[in-house]
Amino acid sequence: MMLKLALKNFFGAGLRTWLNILVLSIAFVAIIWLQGIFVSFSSRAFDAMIAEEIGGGYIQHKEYDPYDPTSLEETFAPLCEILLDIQNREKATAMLIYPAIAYPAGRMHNVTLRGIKPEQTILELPTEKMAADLGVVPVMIGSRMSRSTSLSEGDRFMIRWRDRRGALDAKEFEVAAVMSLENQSVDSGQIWMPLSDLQKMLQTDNAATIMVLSTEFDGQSVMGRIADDWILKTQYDLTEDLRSLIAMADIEYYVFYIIFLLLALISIFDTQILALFRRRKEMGTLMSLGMTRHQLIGLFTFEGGLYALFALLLGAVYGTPILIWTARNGFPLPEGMDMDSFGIPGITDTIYPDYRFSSIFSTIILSVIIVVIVSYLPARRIARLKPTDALRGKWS
Amino acid sequence: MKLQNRLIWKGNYRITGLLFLKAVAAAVIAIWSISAITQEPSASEILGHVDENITADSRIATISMTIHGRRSSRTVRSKSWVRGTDESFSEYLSPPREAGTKMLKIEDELWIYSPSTDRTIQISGHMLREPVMGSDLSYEDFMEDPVLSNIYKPELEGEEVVSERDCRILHLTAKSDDVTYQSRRLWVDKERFFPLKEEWYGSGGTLLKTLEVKEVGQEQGRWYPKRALFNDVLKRGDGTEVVVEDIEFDADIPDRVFSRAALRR
Repeated sequence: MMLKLALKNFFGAGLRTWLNILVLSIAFVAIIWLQGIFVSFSSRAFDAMIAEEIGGGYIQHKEYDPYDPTSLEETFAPLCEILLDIQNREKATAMLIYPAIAYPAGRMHNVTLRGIKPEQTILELPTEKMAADLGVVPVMIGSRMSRSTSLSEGDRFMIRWRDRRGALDAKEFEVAAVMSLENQSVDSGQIWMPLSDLQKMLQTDNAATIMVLSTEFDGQSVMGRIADDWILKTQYDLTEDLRSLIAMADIEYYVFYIIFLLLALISIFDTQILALFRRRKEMGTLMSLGMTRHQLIGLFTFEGGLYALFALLLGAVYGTPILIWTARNGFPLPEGMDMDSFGIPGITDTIYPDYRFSSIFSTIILSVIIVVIVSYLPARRIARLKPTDALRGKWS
Repeated sequence: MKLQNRLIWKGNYRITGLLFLKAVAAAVIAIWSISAITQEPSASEILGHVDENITADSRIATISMTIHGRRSSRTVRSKSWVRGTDESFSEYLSPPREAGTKMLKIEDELWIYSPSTDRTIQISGHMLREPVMGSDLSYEDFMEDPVLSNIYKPELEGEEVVSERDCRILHLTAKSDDVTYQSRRLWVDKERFFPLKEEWYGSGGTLLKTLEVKEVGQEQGRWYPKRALFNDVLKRGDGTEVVVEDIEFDADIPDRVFSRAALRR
């Protein structure tokens, strides 16, 4: 009887009901879409960072600080037998990082040289392209670096550097490949080159700044056996800054979540208040016929909950194809927007939302609970209502 | 008879030997005297003279530096106080954007004061590679020991005419591995012992920078480059022209000029 009565009252409100359902369904779809984008940001950022930069973590020179380019000239050391062994077993790859100045088309650019073995398989980079015999040292750059320096594949340019002892030298290099990288920290201002060539340039045999570990290798297993010059930085340590950034982005997501839901909830709250005022005589009659106050509160709360239920159904009808389409085709960001300004790896010109069942389900449950609470709050006034006053159209 | 003959022979031999020694000594003295007059100075002597010319106990100079970029040129004027080889202080006078910027070098440390931020920063590490005011000279070029014979081993390579002056070509090779430019080539005026042209090379032999002295001046009996053109060969552009507007050698410069406090003064 309650269900029948609730449905009768619910649809009896006519256009107002459908407007509320539409607004709430839009809020639901928008929240799920937004959540898909934030989940995509987060997962792509971690994936890009692990694939292109940190692998399973670093065994690095103890003084190496990626945020202090002034330290790069000092922060490398020869690799010991144990580190060379894990490199030979393809459990790690050595990287020598060193500052230099590049002169593409005669313009000065401060750059960081990254020496890595062309045959490495730890990082997902097309380093094998540096094995080409071009007559000069082959290098690789990212697409951002290519844009900022106007260098393309096949271009030759000079690089000037100061060797380990302090003497300057310069040499010609050729761009063997322009890589499409998702992680700007290994792209902007970075020039990748064969490790052996960089070691020769600096006159440092077997020297490296970091050992990038494979994701399957536990760096801790060798730490007790290598010199104190080297320290272990786990994947967790190296993603600390990214996790802070993602946490900040999550706060932004919740702000949007609240805004969207609030828009819908205000209209539901409004409708509930209006219903309570308009339907005082009806409430008095129902109470006179034997309905308790709690049953009456339940009826009004259930009617409010129906908004969430129908909004979910309507949202599923038009939202599902929209969400599937955006997941497949992505969401292009406005032109001229600087993706790198986000400071999060993995953000490209087009964002592909990542909808996960668990997050959609939790979002729906949370949203429905909030809608029910918002429907219940105004209905609490019924608890103070006297049937006689209600029948006369008055509040007690 | 035999004995008599032997004595006569011995006597003659002694006389002949003495005469021969005298002749050799005279010849040696004559050759030494002639060569002393016409002898070319050695590479080390030439470099020594060059050092004497380019270094002074102290000097105060007003310099204008015109940086010829790809699209436009701009001129920066500065006044510098230099004492010995370890202390130098410069203050930029114009353009207004750079006016008041000061630079202090004491031994191997370099500080810059910027009036716009009212801050003094020490230039070190990668910042030393940055060009000074966008010119073809970097801060690290200022950090080199100006006494060439301290850091280079000279070798005479030949002769050439530069700016209508007869020059000797000196090839300098660094004495140690830590010298910024591992080799240099100097075209030194035969008469004035002043380098009219220089080429600075990297350790692999790549030409990195050039210097051409376009005009030479003389002050207090000392030659100096009145107008010179520096060129970072790797960089596109027409180089940086440095003009010495006025210069005073062996001036008395108070100690307070070469202090960090002077930067904010």
